[in-house]
Amino acid sequence: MTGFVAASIAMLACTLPLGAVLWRGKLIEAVMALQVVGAVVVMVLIMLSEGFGRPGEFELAVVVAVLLLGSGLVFLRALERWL
Amino acid sequence: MLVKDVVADALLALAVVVVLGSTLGVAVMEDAYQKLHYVGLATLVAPVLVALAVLVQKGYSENTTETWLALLFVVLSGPVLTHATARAAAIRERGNWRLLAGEGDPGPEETG
Repeated sequence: MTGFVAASIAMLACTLPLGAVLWRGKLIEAVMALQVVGAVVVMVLIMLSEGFGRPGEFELAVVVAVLLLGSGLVFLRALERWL
Repeated sequence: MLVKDVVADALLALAVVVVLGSTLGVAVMEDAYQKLHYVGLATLVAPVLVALAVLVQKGYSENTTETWLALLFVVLSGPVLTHATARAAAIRERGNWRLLAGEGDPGPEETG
């Protein structure tokens, strides 16, 4: 196991406290937790691609990173107006 | 173990610690606006550390370029989403301030 794989496992484990926010927090706080998890997912995908030596999988991280902005703004716009 | 491996692992460990601080901050802080400060840790600081770790490990290669591209999107969208979140929280709490001032596009009350 390389440092990258170990760091990705550790970083995923770090997102556990956000489960409490998603479960018990208000809607706006749940969206914040979602943003943190989104950023962590991008970093984990990159570290796993690097750790397992599979260059083809970096594109997935790029696509997720691009979609983070769009999905976040759609969530927030819905929160402002309808939810 | 080469020096670059040690440096890369140290950067990764620092990134994990930053993410842990971020998630604990989001979980523990009281209201939405205080939590928002800790979101920035995970969307701004940690990605830069991971990008540096890949750069140290691989040097200038295709992997590094795609890593920096992905993390550039994360770093650029972080502040935008933080501002949009604060705005949404303010509108949900106090109503659309532009409506209260009698101008701007309709808020939730208008659209029903």
